Amino acid sequence: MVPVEVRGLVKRYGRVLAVDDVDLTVERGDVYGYLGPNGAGKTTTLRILLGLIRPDAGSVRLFGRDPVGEGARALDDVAGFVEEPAFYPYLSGRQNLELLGTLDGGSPAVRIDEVLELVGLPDRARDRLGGYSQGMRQRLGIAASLLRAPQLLILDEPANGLDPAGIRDMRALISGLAREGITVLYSSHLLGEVEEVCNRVAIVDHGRIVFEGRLDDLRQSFGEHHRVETGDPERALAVARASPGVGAERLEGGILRFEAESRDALDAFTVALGAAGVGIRSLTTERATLEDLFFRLTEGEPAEAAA
Amino acid sequence: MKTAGVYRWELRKLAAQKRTYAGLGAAAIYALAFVIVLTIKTRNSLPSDVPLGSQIRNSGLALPPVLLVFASIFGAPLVTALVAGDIVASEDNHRTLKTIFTRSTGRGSIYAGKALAAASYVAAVLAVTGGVSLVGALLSWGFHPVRTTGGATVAAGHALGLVVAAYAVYLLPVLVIASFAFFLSTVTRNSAAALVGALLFALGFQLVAALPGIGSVKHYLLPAQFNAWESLFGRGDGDALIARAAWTCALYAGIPLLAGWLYFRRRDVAGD
Repeated sequence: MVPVEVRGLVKRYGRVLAVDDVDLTVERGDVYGYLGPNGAGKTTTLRILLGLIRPDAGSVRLFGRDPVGEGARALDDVAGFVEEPAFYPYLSGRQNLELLGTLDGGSPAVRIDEVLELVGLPDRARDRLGGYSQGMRQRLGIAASLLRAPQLLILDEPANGLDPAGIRDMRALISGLAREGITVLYSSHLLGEVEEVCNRVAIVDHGRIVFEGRLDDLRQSFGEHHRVETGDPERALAVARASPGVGAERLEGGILRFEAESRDALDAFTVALGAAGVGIRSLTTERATLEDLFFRLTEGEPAEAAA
Repeated sequence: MKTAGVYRWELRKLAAQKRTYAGLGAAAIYALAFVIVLTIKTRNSLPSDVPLGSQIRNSGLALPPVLLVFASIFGAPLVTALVAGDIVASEDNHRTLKTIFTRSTGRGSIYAGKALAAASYVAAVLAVTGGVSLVGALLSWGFHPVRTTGGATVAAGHALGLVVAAYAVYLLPVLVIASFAFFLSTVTRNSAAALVGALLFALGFQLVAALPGIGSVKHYLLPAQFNAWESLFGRGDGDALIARAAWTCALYAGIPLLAGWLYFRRRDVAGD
C-alpha cells in the first residue's frame, strides 16, 4: 500500500482556494518535503490528511484507507501534528504522553521512557507543560508521534522554535527514522532543512503544486550553471553566444556564467574556446540550491513536473 | 473500553484543574453558609413555607433537603455549568482537539467519555453539598427522627436514606443543566458562553413555569423536576413524580447531548 495518495484535492474557505486540485504520492521509505510560502495551503493539506478537516473535492488515502471517511481507524499506522503540537498545560509532559497512549489503546511506561529519551526530554518529563519552551513542546510533539510506532510520520514545520542544535538533532532524528523504514512527510519553509533530509519534494504555491518529484530532477529541469574564467572574457562571451546548447551567458567581474543544456554541449563549448585561442583558467559547475529553485518556481513560471 | 479510558483521563484532567476545585469549593461554602445562617436565625424566621423547613431545628436531617429548594434557581446551575460548560470548550482553548483526534480513539468515545466525566463532576458537587450540609446540620441539631410533610414521623436512620435518595432524584434535573452546558461548550467552543447560556436556560425554564395559564404543562417543565424529591417526604404521589422526573429529564438531557454529538462528530478542526 502506498503511504500517501492524494488525488484532485480541493479545499475552499469562502472565496479563498486554499488547496487547488492537489495530487500527491508519497512512496514507502520516502522523506518527502512539502514546501511552500506561508499561506500556500501546506497545513490545510496536512489537516485533511490527518482527518481533521473535510475536503470540498478529491480523495485521500493513507495506506489505502480514507481518513476523511473512516476517521481515527484510518490513522492506525500514522502519526504527526499540524502547526505547533498542542498539549494540556496543567499536566506534565509525561502525563500528556500517558493520556495519548491511553487514546492509542495503552502505551507501556517503558515505551514512554524510550520516546522521552529519544527527544531529549527525560529530565523535564515530570514538569508541567505550562513551563515548557516552544522547542520543548516541539520535541514532545515528536515523542507523542513516535509513541504510536507509526509507519508514516506527518510533520508540519517540526523545526519551528528549535535552536540550531535542536534543528540538527531533529534532522538526525528524521534521517534515523527514515533509515528504519518510516516514511516521513515533512512540511517546512526552511529550504536548507528539507534539502538535507528529503529525497523527494513537492513545491506548493497558492494552493497548487508547481513541482513534484525528486530533487535531482528538479535541479536538472533548470539546467546546470557553470562559471568559466578565461584569459579573454569578451572573446569567450562571443564564443558562448555562437555555441549551440549554451545559453543565459553573461559576464560577472570577468567571469563568464552560462547554462549548458547537456554535458555534450558543455564539452563542445570548451573545445570551441580552445579553437578560438581562449585559454581556460578554471571551469566550475554551480549546483542550484533548493532555495534558488524554490524562488524560481514560486515567483516565476512553473517547471515541468519531473516525477 | 476506549470510552472507559477517555473517562478515566477526563477525571484526571478535572482533578488537575483549578476550575474543578472552585466548583466543589463553592458548593461546600454554599452548604456551610446555609447551615450557619439557619443556625443563627430565630425560630420564627425559619423557611417554614418550604417542605421540611419547619423541621430544621428538630433534626439535622431536615436541612440538606431544604437546601435543595434554594439551590435550584441559581447555585446548582452555576456550579454545574462551570465545569460542564468548559469540558469541550477547553479543548478548543488549548487547541488540543487536533492532538486527540489524530489518535486511535474515535470521536464517539471521546464525546461519551467527556459527557460521563461532566456527569460525575455534577454528582460530586451534589455529594459535597449534601455531605457538608448534613455534617453541619447534624452537629447543630442532632440525629433525630423527622416529621414529613404528610405528617408522618420517620425514624432517623430511614430519614437519612431519604435524604440520600432526595439528592439522587435532584441529580436528574441538574444533569439536564449540565447537558445543556455541555452542548453549548461543544458548539460555541467558548466556556464563558456555555456558562452564561446554561444559566439563561435554567432561568428561562423558571420564567416559563411562572407564566399564568399553562395549566398541567408546568408539571413537565424542568422546575417541577427540581421539586420531585419532595415526594419522598410525603408530598404528592412519590413514585409517579419521580418516574416523571426520570423520563422528562432523560428527554431534556438527551436532546442537547444528541445535538452536540451530531455537531462534534463532523466538525472540522481548522486553523486555530
